[in-house]
Amino acid sequence: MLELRQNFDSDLERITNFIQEALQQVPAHLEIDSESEEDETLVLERDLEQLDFYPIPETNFISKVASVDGGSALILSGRSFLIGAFRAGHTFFQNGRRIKEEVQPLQFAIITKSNKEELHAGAHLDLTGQPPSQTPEMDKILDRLRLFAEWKLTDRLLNNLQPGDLLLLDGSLRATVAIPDNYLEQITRKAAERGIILAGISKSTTLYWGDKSPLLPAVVKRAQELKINQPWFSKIGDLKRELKQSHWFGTVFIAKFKQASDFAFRVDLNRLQNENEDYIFGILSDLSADPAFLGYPYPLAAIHNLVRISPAEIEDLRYRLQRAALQKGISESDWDLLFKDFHLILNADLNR
Amino acid sequence: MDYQGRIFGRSITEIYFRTFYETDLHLGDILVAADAEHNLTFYLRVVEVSYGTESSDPNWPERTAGNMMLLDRQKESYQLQERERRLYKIGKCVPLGYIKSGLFKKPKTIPEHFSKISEPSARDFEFLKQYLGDIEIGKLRSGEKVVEFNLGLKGEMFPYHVGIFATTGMGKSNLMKVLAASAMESGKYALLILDPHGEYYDGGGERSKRNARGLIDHPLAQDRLRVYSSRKLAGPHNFLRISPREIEIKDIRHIYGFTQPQIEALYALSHHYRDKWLESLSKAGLPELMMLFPNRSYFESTLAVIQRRADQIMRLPFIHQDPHLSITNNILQDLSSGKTVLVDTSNMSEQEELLVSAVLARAVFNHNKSKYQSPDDFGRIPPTLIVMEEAQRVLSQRGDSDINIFAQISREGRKFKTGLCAITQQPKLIDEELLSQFNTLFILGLADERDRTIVKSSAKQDISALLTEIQMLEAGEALVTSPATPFAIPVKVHLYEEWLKSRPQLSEERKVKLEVDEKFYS
Repeated sequence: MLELRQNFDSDLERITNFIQEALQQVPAHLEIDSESEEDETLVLERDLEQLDFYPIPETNFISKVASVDGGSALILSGRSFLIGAFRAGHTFFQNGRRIKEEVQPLQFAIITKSNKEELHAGAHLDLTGQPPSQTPEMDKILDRLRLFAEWKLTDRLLNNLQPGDLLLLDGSLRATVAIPDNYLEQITRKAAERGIILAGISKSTTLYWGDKSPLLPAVVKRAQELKINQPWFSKIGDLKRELKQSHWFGTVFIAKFKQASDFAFRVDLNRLQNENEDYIFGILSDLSADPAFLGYPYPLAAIHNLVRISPAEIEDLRYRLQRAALQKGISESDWDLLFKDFHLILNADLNR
Repeated sequence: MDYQGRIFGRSITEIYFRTFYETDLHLGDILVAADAEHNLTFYLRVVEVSYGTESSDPNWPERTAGNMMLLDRQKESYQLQERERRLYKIGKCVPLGYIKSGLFKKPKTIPEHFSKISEPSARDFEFLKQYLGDIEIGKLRSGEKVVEFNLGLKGEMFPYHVGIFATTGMGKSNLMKVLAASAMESGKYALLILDPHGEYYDGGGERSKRNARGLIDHPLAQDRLRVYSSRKLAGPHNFLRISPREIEIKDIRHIYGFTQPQIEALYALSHHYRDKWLESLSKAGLPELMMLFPNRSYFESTLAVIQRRADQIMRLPFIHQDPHLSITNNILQDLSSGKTVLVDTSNMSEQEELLVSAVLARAVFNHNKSKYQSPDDFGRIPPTLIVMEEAQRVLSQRGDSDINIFAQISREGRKFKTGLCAITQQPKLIDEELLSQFNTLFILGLADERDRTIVKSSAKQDISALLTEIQMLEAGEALVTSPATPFAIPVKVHLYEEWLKSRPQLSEERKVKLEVDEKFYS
């Protein structure tokens, strides 16, 4: 609860000044930052005003659209260990209809300080055929396991899809400490060789400019200034530089798939593929006409909703776990001792 | 589609289920829920239909609608993908009961979780037959769908009174024609229909307009229908005549307003003239009347009013000057033999029509009552129903059973096999206590909320959840509540003209000439 007598005015002013300055900044160059846990940043020497905006044409696409996503959730936290669940899944759409869907069974992981390395390394090895360069913190392991499941499924789908089909991923095509260069190289090459269009759409992007201010709104603002009144895409990446830097397997674009939508997205297109960009964005725009998810490719929204582990499912899993524990002879007080966080009690009380 | 959805929750009194996006779910739909675990079949009636969306975000539908509007304005194309998967409907139901070991039971339990809901077939309603009778009125209705299952009432319920309530145009007259024709076909029940609108004989003014048909068009009319009319009809009928000696003081008291001294004078005069009171009063001069009360108990003006009214009544065209002649006995005979008697009073004033109705209703009631002493005689009387149009005119007052024959029949008729069928557009005007005597109610579309409320409180089944459905009923759609049936039964009343085409013809040997003796009254 806010303390009504406290005067925030000076703090509020300080924060708004910062935002104002950030918005007024004219970047001399663009930086494409990597995920937060990594250091390397791709710097593109290009002014925002040099960006070109291309209208997205209408495209008639009759091949299949596959989409891949994953979901994970922390079920219980015993502080020194975590119990989580994850799953991946995919859908196939064709001519606006879902023709196939598959959600993998939930997989459970017991993550401890002592087993995290082994757990992570095993999954990494299974996916890439090589040991990982580093092991993340315990609370990042579950996300990694989900990510590996997604990429493994992506690899499998590349075997099943036909030339001309489109495979959509939730995220970028940039190699990270999680997904190594050679694995992404293998995936993107395989897609290109099989003639499968590979695109990654990021719901939240890590693109920045200037003093780490978000690039995406700046590009959208620029499009507004130019009075572009139709769906557009703008190439941010630079293929020459991307090819020099081994981690970047996708050419980066910002695109607004529907004029009426409030949202634009970062799109990574497989740098090795030959398809015309107009054509690919035409397909993506056509897939983004659902009014509930306006401006976002519907197959990705569909698979997201299938694989996400909802709060109700988490609650159900917790309940079933506790029930099984009770049957095993673990008393309720021991259970509470392990898993009850006093925050929950505080919040429950406040929510009354 | 047979498969409708799955139950997902609530309680004994209301059950919610999810159905498919493409399912046409209507208020009043009757569905079955199969409880495979306990081998029970539940019957549910849909009382509300609402929207459901497959989204954890409660604002999703609102937001999506907003996006659609934006795209409409901007003339951008869009397509809501996979509607059938993301959208659905929710049906709220009241449980009607369930079948256990072949018996229909009140809903004292709930179907198992996620029971499968499906659309019933005619076979699923076989159990209803034990509650139904031979007075066919229509077909079972499930929402807007008509089920191939004929519905009939038990004519034995006639003495327990029938109410037919509907706003104009909802099908009261059609229902009455079907009911009367069914009674004619049965031959086991007697109906006295008092028709002030002249619509039952041959369809009235609607005959030429929309090819409406009347009771006279029924193939059994010659044998089972008797018509008495105060106007000339195109087909066979008898002239309506009653004797002044059949009119009781109660009848004219109920219809004409009298002051207390006038009432007292009336009784004093009837005591003097006995059963000739009306004709004698009409003929007597004022001095003669004054002389009857030498101690000047009544003012001259009081007696003058009474004399003038008596004279007016005696001059009515349907009052036969010969006090020994009346059609009442013929009517009683017809009714005793299980015929339908139609009394067309459409050219009378309201007072005249009410007078005739009261006289005839009283005659029927007294006749049946008189047989009560002899079990054999009483056993031979068919259950009788007196049909009164615009019944609120005679059933709106409380505590006047002593003079209002209709109120008296409402209260006492069942004992003497005499029921009243009250037809009205305004049940709210009927006295609540009298209305509670009506056991079988045909509830057709009622626009007025107060009418629906009063009917709800009088029905013999709980129809509180059905008020919206009643409001939405279309012409010819009805709900029938009766203590004889396990729940309020939705019915699509036969359209009389269509139904008539399927009626059985009377065999040649049973055809008899309609007995009309015009000379008798001339």
